[in-house]
Amino acid sequence: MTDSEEDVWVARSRHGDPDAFGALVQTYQRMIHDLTYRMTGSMTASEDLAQETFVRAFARLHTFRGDAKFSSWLYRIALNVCLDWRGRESRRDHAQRVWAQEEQSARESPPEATGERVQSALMRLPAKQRAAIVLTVCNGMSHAEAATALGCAEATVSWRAFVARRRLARILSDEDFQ
Amino acid sequence: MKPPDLEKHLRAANVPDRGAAYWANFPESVKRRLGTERPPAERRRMGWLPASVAVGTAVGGVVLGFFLWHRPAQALDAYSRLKSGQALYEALPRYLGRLQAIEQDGNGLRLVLSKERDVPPSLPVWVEIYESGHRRSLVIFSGQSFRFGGGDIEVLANPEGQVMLVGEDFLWTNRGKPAATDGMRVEARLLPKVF
Repeated sequence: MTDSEEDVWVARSRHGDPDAFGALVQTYQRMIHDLTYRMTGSMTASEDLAQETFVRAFARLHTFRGDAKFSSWLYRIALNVCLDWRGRESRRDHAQRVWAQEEQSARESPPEATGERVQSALMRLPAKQRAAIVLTVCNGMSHAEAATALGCAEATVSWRAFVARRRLARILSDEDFQ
Repeated sequence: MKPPDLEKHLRAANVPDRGAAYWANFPESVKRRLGTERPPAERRRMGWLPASVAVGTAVGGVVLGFFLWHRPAQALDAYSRLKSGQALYEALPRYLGRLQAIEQDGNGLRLVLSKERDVPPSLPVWVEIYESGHRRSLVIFSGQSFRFGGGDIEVLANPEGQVMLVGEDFLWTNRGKPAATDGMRVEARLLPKVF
């Protein structure tokens, strides 16, 4: 899909054309699923949140002014959906966490595959640091692009990414990551 | 670990793939949900509350109970505890009537809970699905459903040990020839009764 085609799909979607929006979903579905998976570490949750991202985007299309890329705008919605989900889950499962903490004294065996070990390490970062590292390293965004997607200052992204890198390196080194 | 190594590992860590059928169906599943939404332009004219409020509420009911839990230094890891039924027997007394399933993902074990105490007592089933190098492992009660490939799969079992997994385009049974598993490998069996 070229930029001009994308503009057409966006304009048609704004007027409630589901097929036009379906074309946008098809273009960006993998990108959004990758992000929601990196942010949640769960296949099921990432699918639910990807769907919620697109539904929320459709509902808010009138707020997309075209001064940023559509993909960046979509990223921002997906990140907010993921961060909202973290908060919602935290509140809902407070009782379960208390139980989990009671029982936690040793960590389970590390996952076998490299991807799972890295994902497991990512999940041990605070959500906003995880978002910074996912956008800048896994997705190859510049700090400025990541700042647009996250809705914060570029310096904030740089700092979060720096701290996240340091923590990840420590976590993975502790696991004798090869 | 040095920064270049870290970046290499982060970039190389693939997200598990979901298969062609999932990607083909996903836009339609989104469009079905849009069917309940008003067009953005119309919503703006009417000054409606953002649809995200309604959507957030709906999705909020879908995923209940997400948590990490790690056992003390016992012999069994999370996967073994799940597969043996130990995780189920530990969690069930606390969430009787609410526990629908326990699933393993990248974070550990995750409880799937109903908001109300409305989960009827039924047979517990161990289910494992391998697809595209990704393993999905869960313990679920007969009569409950789980999400897979963008759709719901219902788990049915009887006391004789027969287990069936039924989805819109998917049928698997542990007796006889599987009807349609679409290239996946499935294992499922009854766990000992808990009720």
